[in-house]
Amino acid sequence: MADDVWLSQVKRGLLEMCILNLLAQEHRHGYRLVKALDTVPGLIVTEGTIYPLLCRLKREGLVLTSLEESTQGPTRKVYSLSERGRTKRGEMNRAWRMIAKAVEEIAGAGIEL
Amino acid sequence: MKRRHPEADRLERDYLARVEAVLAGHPDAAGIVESLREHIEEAATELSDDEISLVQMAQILERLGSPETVRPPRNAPPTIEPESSVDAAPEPVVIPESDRPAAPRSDFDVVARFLDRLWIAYFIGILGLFVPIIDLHFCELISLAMLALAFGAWGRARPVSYRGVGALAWSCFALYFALFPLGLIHLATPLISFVALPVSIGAFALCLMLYWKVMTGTAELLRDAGASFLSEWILRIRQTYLFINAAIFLASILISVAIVFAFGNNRKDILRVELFTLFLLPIGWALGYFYVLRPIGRARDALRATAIQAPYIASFSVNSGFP
Repeated sequence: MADDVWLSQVKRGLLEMCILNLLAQEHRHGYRLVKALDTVPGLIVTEGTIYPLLCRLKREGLVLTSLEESTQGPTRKVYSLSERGRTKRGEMNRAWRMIAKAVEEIAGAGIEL
Repeated sequence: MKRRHPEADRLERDYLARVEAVLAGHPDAAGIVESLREHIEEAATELSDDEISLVQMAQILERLGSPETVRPPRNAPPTIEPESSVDAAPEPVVIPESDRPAAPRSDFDVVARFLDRLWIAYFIGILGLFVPIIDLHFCELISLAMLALAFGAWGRARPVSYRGVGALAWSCFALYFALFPLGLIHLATPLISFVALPVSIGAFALCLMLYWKVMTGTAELLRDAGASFLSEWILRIRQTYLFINAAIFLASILISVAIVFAFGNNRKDILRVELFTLFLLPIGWALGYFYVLRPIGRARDALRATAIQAPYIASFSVNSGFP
């Protein structure tokens, strides 16, 4: 049970970082973003959990939305990264690299974690 | 929108209703439900079948997860109780009525007031589209200045389409302002039309761009607030208005040129052309009402009246830096 909590917390943090990184590559609408995240095994359990996170990122000013006309149906909401989001993404990526490297070194040294 | 089997449609509606119930009171409820609806539509569009069956809808919803899993985690900081709060409870301080700070203006008022400002600015602009003969766009200038000031005070931008609207409005203002001296010179030298016409076309094109951005931004506000039907309506009429205006503008130029060619290019004909443009005023008023004032008014009323907008407006005001 404790493992599940730990794993879900790690995933939640990584999910936010992955969303910011995906949006840094290109503007995407929600469905495409979910599909891109789906390619990372085990990152999202259910697709619906992405949207509350996106709403929060938008509320925090990290993500922007705009409407995109669609020939196949109604307009779609497109997510993009704000300047603040770009800065946050940079910070997250740096922190992630540093932590991952340190953890890797500890694991590589044969220290039992 | 992709056709659904009635049972699939019912399943979708039930699912979204359950999500709404789970998220009741959450500030992002409307936005999350709207995003899920969009997601379902996208997933349905990807399927090759003409009609979405119950099984297909169930699969889409299963991938989304149960409404309970959609609920965002509650990560609000814990409330810190003061130590020995009972013993150390301070005496209640009674602040005299006159010293009490004014109640903060509600976020709802902020957004409603902004849309009111847009409505009034456009109303003035539409009311007096121009003064014939000398091309004085007096009301247009006031309207554009009001729009520029309103958007200039917006702060860091949300929605995206509202970005740069202030600068665009000032550019329109500058061009319309330039038309006035050109109009005066025009009375003496009709040849100045060769300068005035491109400026006039430029001002008109910028005004349409401005309208497009304002309407798109308003539609985005409505979409985020869960009023997607109204949002779609505004996006549709925005296109219609653009086409009608472009057609009228083109027609008026062609007719003006035809008059000049038919009767010669002299001062009397300039008056004839200007009188002709007078007939366009009522059309401009009607179009302005149906395609500008009415949608902005409806958007304002929808944001004001619909209960689900309240949480959105709260987050909107906090994040936008809107005064």
